[in-house]
Amino acid sequence: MRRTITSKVVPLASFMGPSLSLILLFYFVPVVLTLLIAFTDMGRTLQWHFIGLYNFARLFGVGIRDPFILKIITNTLIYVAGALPVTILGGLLLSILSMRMHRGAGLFFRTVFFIPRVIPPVVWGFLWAWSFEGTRYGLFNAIRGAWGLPVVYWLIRYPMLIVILANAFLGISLAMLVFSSAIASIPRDFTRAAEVDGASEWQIARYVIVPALKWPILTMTAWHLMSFINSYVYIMLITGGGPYYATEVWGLYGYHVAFSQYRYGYGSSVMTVLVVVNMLLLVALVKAFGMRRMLGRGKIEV
Amino acid sequence: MMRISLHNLSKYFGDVKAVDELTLQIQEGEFVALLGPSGCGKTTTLLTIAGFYRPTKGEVRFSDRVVNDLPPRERNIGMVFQSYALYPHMRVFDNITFPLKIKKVPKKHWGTKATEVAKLLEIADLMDRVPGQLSGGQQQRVALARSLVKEPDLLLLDEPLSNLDAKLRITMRAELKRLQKDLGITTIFVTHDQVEAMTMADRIALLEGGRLQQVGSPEELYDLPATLFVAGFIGTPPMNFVEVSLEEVEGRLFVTTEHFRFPLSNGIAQKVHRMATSREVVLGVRPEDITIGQGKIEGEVYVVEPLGRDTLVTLRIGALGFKVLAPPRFRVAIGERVQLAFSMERIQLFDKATERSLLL
Repeated sequence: MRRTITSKVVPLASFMGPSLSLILLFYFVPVVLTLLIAFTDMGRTLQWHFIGLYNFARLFGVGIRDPFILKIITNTLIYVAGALPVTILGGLLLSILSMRMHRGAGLFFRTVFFIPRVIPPVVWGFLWAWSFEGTRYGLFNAIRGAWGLPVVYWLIRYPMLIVILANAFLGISLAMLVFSSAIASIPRDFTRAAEVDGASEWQIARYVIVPALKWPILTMTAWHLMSFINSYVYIMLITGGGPYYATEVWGLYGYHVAFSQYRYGYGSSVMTVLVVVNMLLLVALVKAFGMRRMLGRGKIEV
Repeated sequence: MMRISLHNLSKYFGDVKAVDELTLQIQEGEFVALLGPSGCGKTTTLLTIAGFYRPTKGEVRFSDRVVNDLPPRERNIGMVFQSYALYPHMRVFDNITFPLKIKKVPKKHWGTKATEVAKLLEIADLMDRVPGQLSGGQQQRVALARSLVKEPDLLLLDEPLSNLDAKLRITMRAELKRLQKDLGITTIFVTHDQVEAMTMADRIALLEGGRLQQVGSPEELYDLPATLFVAGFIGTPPMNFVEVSLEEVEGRLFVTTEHFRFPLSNGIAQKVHRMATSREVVLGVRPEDITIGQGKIEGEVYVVEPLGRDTLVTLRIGALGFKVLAPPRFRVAIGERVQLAFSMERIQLFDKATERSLLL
C-alpha cells in the first residue's frame, strides 16, 4: 500500500512540482499580496498602514471620488468593444480567404499575419508608435510627405483607434490560426456540394464555413474578451495611455497609479477590482458555454 | 438533358497520371457507371466532369460545348457525395432548398418544389429533422433530393451506395435505377463494386491505372471482356485463368496444358487464328461455364461451399485450382475424383503478353 502511494506521489511531485511552485510563487502570492496592499495606503516609503475600505470607497465614489475612474471605465469599454469584433471578424476574414485561395499563397498570408505573435512585444509596440509618429519621420507621415501632404498627428487625433488596431492585429493572428485549422477540418465535400449547387465564395463562407466554426468562434471570443480587459502592454508602449488619459484603460491605470505615482496601496485596489472582474467573467463564460463542452472533444461541427 | 463527351481527357497530378487519354461518349438520359479499383481514376474523372479539376489535356463537352474552364457553379449539375455532405446545422427542409436559396428562387416556390422531390424520395415526413437524426439511408435520400430539386442537366453520384448496409444497398440499387429511368436525367456514378455497376448501369466504363479498359453494356463486359483485367474484375466468383499453349494439329486448334487438352470450336478458332500473335495464351472460364460429372478433364475436389442458390466447388487439376458453380444441393466429397467439361462457346482466350482478348 505504502509502496503504491509513494510510487504515485514521486512521479506526480517531480512532474507537477516545479510548475506548481512557479504558479504559486508568481501568481497566487502576488494576488494575495495585492489583495492585502489594497487595504493599505502604501506609498513610496513602502510602509503598511491598513486603512480599511478607504481605497475602494474612492474607487467607487463613496464619499471621496477619483475624478478619472469614469473616463477609465469608458475607455476600457470602448477599447474592448472595438478590439474584440475587429479580432474575430478579421481572424475569420483572413482564415477564410487564406484557406480558399491557392495553398502556397494562403500559407504565405497566414505566415505574414502570424508575425506579430512571434516578435517581441516591445518591437511590435514601437513599430506602431513609429509608424504613426506625429513628425515627418513617422512611416505614414513620411509617405504623406513624399506626396507633399502635411504631417498628421496620428497619435493625438486617433489614439484609441491606433491602440485598438495594434492589439486587434495580435488577436487576429491567433484567431486566424485557430479558425484556419478548424476550416481545414471541414470535409471537402461540404464546400464542394455548395459549389456544385451554385454558391459563390461569399455564400460558401456564410452558409457552410462560418456555421461550422461556431465553437472556435465562441472560444476565441471568450479568450480575447478576457485578454483585452486585462491588456495594457501595447497601449503603454504606443501612447502611454495618452494623450491625457485618452487611451488609459483599467489595467494601465492601475500600473500608472502604482508605478508612476508610487501609490501602491491605491494601485493594488485598482488591480484587485480587475482580478475580481476576471473571476466573475470566467465563471460567467464557463457557465454560458458549459465547461464540459468547452473542454471536451469535437469543437468543430461537421 | 445533356449529352456528355470526354475527348482524350487526361488529368495529371505532378508525375501521377490519374486519368490518361480517356475518351467516352454518354448519351442523353443514359445511366453510366465509372467502375474500377481504388486509385483507378474514376473519382478524378467525376470531379473533372463536375469542374473541380481542370483537365491537363483533352476536353469535357456538355452537348457539344467545351466546358473545360467552366466553374462547377455554372454547370447546373446535381451531385451526391459519398459522405452525402448534408449541412449539419440545417434542417432537412433547409438542406433540400439550399440550391434554391443560392439560385435566388423566390421563397414562395420553395415549399412546392421541396415537397415534390421529398414525395418522390419518400422523405416528406423528415423535413423538420436535422441530419444527425437521420439514418444512413434517409441521409442519402435527402442528399439526392437536394441534388434533384434544382432540376439538374446532369446527375453525378460518387459511390452512392457504399455507406449503406448490405441489405439497404440492394433496395437502393433498384430504387436508384428506377428513379433514374423515371426522371431521365443523364447520370454518371462512380463505384468500385462491380455488382453495383452491373445491376444499375446502362453502360459501364471500366478504368484501371487511369486508362479506360472497356466500355459497354454489363452483358458485353461479362460475356466478352476486352482484357484480362476486365475478365478478372467483373463477376463473382471471378473467372478461372490458366496459362495454356495453342497447338495446331491437322488444321484444328487445340488448347493444351500438361493436364488436359481440348480442341477449340470452329467459331472461336477462326477469331483466334486472326488475332493470335503467339502460342502462349491465357484461357479464361467462368465458374458457371464448367460442368461437373461429364467430359474428359479429370480433377479432384478440394473443397465444397454451399451458397444456397448454388454450390461453389473448388477443384484441383494437377497444380491448377478451378472454381466451379454447381447446382444447389450438389453432393460431392472432398478428395473425390470427378470429370468436368467446359462450355466450349463461352471460354475466353487472352494474349499472354498484351493481356488483350483474342476473341474480339
